Amino acid sequence: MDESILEASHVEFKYQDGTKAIRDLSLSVKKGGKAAFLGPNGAGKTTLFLHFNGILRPSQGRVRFAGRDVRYDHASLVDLRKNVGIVFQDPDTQLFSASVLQEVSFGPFNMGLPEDQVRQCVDEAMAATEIADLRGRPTHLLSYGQKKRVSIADILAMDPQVIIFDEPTACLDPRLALRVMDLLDRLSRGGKTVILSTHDVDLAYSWADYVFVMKNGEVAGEGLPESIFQNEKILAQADLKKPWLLEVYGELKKKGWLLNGATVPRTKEQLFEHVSENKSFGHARMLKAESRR
Amino acid sequence: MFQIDSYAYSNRLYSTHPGEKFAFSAATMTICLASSSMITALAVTLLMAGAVVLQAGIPWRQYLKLMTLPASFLLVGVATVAVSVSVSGQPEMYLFWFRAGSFSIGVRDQDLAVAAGIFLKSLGATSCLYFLSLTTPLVEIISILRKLKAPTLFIELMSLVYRFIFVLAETAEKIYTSQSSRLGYRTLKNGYFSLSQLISSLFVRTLYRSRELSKTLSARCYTGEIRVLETRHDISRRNIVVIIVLELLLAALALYDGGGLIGRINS
Repeated sequence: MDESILEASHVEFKYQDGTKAIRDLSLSVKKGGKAAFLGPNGAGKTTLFLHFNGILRPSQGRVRFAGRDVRYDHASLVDLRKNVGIVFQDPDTQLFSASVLQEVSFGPFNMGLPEDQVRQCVDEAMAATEIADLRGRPTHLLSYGQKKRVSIADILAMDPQVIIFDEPTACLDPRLALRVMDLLDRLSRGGKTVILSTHDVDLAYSWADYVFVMKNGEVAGEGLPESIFQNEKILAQADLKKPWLLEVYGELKKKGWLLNGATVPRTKEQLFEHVSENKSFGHARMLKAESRR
Repeated sequence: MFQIDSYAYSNRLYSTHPGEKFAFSAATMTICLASSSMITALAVTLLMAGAVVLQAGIPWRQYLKLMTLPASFLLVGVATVAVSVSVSGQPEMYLFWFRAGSFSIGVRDQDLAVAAGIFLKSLGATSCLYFLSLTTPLVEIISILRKLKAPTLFIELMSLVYRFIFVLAETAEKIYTSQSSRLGYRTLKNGYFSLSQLISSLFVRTLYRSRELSKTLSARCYTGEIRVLETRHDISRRNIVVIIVLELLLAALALYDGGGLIGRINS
C-alpha cells in the first residue's frame, strides 16, 4: 500500500502579481490513505488542491498522478478530473443548478456516461450522502448542511479514485460534521484515497493516517499524526494547538498515572482504557502502601 | 418574485407533467390573443383564476394580489388609448368630455371599447403566464424549452441566471443586514451612501463568484456544454382530455362571440 497516487515535486505557483502561493513544494500522498492538511489560512492548501485537479498549472515543477506526469491538454485534464474530485469549501460556489437532481448529474454526464448509467450513479451518490429525499427540491431552498451534502454527492457521482475535501466540516453543526466524517471513513474503507484540509487538530489527529502541515506555501512538516502532533516545533511554526488527547496523555504520563508501555492513544477510548487500567494499578499501589504502614 | 417561486414548488399541481401545464397555458394564451371577443378573454381570465386557486390550491387573496400588479400597469397603459385630446373638439362623438383651454379632452365610445378589449386580452394572457409560473418550477419550464429545441446558449444562460438570482439576493441581504446593524441606513444621506457601497460590492462579488464557478465546473470536467438529467413525469390521459375539451370550448366561444379568431379590434 506504499504506492503513491498524487505527487508534487518542486511545485511553485505564482499569482499574476508575482506573489508566490506555493514555494518549491514536494510531497506525495499514498494510495488508499487518509491524508490531512493543516496550516493557517493562506498557507496554500486550497491552491495546492487546485493543482492536484489540474485547475491550476504550476509555474515550475510538476504534479504526478498515479506515477505519471499531469499533462495539460484537454483530454488529459478530463481524464485527471475523472480520477481526482474536489469538494469545495463553500457549496454555494459549487452548486450551479437550481435542481438537486440536475446538479448531481452534471459530472457523470461530462464523463460521457450514457443516461441510464448516469441515473444509477446519481442514485448511489444521493443514497450515500442521504439526500435522496431532496431530489425534487430547489437548491436555493436548502439549508447549509443540505447544500454541503449535495456538493459532496456531486463528486461521489463521478466515482473518482481520489476525493479532496476542502474543510469539509467548516460551518457544520457537530451532528452533521460527525456524519460527514463517517462518510469520509466509509469512502476510505471502500478503497478511495481521501484528502482533507482542516483547522481542527483533534479531528485531524484521530482521523488521518498521515498529516501534512503547511505554512507560507511550504510543507512545514509531515508524518504520522502521533509524531507530528508531538513535535512542538512544527506545531508552533504553523500556530497549531496540540490535540486535547495528546495534551491529556502527556499530562497523565508526566504525573505517573499511566502504565509503563501505554501506547500513544489515537482515540479517547484508547486513552480511557489506559487510565482505567491504571486506576486499579494505582489502587493496588495505595493498598500496598497502607498494608506496609 | 420569490413568492411565485416558492409556490411553484409547493402547489398541488407540482407533480403534474410540466408538458401538460405548458400546453394548457400556451394553447389558452393563443386562443385569448387570437380572438377578438372580450367574453373569451374574460372567460380565459376566470378559467386561469379557477385553475390556480381551486386546482393548484394557491390562496385566492395571494392570487388577487399578484394580479393587481399587471392590472395596474395595464390600466395606466390602456388609459392612453381610451383618452383622446383634440384641438377642435367634436363633442357629439364623445361619450363624455371636458374643455381645458383650447383643448377638448374626452373619451370616445369606440376608443373605450378598444381599451377594454386590450385590457381584457392582456389580463387573460397574463393570467395564463401566471398559471404556468405558479404551478411549474422554472427548472421544468427550461427542460420543456430544451425539448422544444430552444438554443442551448439561451437555455444554459437562463438556468444559470435563475440559480444565481438567489445567490445574489442572499448576498445582498447579508450585506444589507451587516450595514444596518452598524446603523448604515440611519439617515437618508448615509442610506444612499450605504446603498451605493452595497451595489458596488455586489458587482465585485459577482465577478468573484463567476470565477469560482468556472473553477468548480471545470473541476467536474466541464467542457463547454451543460448536460443534466431531467425528472421523469407520468403523462395523465385524463388531464390531456380535459385540456382538449377546455380549449375546444374556448375556441368555440371565441368563434361564436367574436365571429372569428383573427383580431378585429380596429373594425
